[in-house]
Amino acid sequence: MNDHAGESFDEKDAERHQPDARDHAFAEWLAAPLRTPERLDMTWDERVMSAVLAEARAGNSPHRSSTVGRAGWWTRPRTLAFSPLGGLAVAAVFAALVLAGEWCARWLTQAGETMSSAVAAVRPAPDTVHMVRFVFVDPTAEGVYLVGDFNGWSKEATRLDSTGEGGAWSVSVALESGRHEYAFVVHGPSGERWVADPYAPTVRDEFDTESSVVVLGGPASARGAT
Amino acid sequence: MKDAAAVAAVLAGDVDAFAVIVDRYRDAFTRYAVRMLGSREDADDALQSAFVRAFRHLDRCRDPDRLGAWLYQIVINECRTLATRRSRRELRLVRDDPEVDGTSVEPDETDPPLRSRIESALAQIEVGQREAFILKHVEELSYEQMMEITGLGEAALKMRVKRARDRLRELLEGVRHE
Repeated sequence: MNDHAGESFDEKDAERHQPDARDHAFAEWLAAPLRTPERLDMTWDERVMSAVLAEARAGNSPHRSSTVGRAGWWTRPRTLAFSPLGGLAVAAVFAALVLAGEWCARWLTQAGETMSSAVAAVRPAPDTVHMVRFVFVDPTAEGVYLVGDFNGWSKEATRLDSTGEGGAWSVSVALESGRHEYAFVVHGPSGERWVADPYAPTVRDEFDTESSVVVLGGPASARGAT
Repeated sequence: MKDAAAVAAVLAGDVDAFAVIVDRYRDAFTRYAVRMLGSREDADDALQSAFVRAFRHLDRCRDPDRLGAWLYQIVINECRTLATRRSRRELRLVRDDPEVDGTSVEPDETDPPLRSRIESALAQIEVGQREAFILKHVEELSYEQMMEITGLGEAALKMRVKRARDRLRELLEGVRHE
C-alpha cells in the first residue's frame, strides 16, 4: 500500500480500475480541445534571458559552483606519502600552524571587541556581515526600491540601480547574519506596487501582505535574494 | 548545438548558450503550464521561474543528453507549487469574503464554449490529479515517462488519472451525453 498526499492506493487498485473503452472515449473527448498549442508573448525569451543574465551577474552562474576546474584542486581528495622522519616534520609544522592560528584568532577577537564594542553592546548576536545583492527584473519598471526589516521598511531608503540591460535592477546591501524579510516596491506606468521576490521563500504578515525571506549564515542558511 | 553541448557551454561560462536551451524547450512546456495553471499569465511566470531555476542549478543535471526530462521535472514542480499556492489563496477568498459565496452570481446567458467548460472543470480538481490527467491525456506521455518526471510510481499515477477522470465526469455531467 502506498500513500501520496493522503491518497491510498495499491497495485491491485490500479489493476482493478483499468480504463475501459468508455473511459478512453471520455478522456479523448475531454483532452482533444486542450491539445491546441499555446504560445507565450513575444517578450518572454527576452525577459527570461534578462533574468538569467542578472543571475549570472549576481554570481549565480552554475559554473561557479562546479568543483571542476579552478577550485577543484583543493577540494579533491588526495593521497600523500611521507617517510617517518618527514611525517614528524610535517606534524611539527602543522602543530605550529595551529598554535599560530589560535594566537591570531585571540588577537583578532580582542581587537574586534575594542573596535566594535558600541555595536556589540546593543546587538550581541551578529558576528558576520554579508554583502547581499538583490536583483529585480521588470522592463516596465520606472524605479525599484528594496524594503525590509533591515531598513525599517522604508520605501525611499534603498533604491535599486538600473543595470541598463533588459530591465534588470540591482543593489548590494550589507546584512547581518540571521533571518531577514524583504520585498520590492516597484514604480511603473500603473503606479506603485509591492512585489515579493519570485525566487525566494515567502511569508505573509497579519495584513496578508507577502514578503520574501533570506536567511544568512549558519547551517540553516538559505539564499533568498536573487 | 546538441543539448549536452549547450549545457557544457553554459557550465563553461557562456551564459548566451542558455538561450539555445530556452528556445528549444519553451514551446514544449507552454501548453502544459497553461493547462495546468489555467492562465497564460501564470504560465508565463511559472516557466520564467522554472528556466531561471534550471540555469542556476544546471550543474546538477546529471545526464545532459536527457536535459528535456530534467527540465520537465522543474517545470512540473514550479507549476505544482504555483497551482497549490493559488488554490489555497482562492479557497481562503471563498471562505473569507462574504461577497464571494456564489449565491449572488447571475447565471451567464450565453452557453460558454466547450473548451472553456472543460478548462473550468479541470481547474476545480485536485492539483495532483489535474497534473496526472494533463500529462497522460493532453501531453500524451506514457506512464514510464510520467514516472520519470514526476517521481511517482505507476500505480499512484494510474489512480490519479482515474480519479481525475471520475471527478471531471461528475463536473461535466450533462455537458456530454455518453
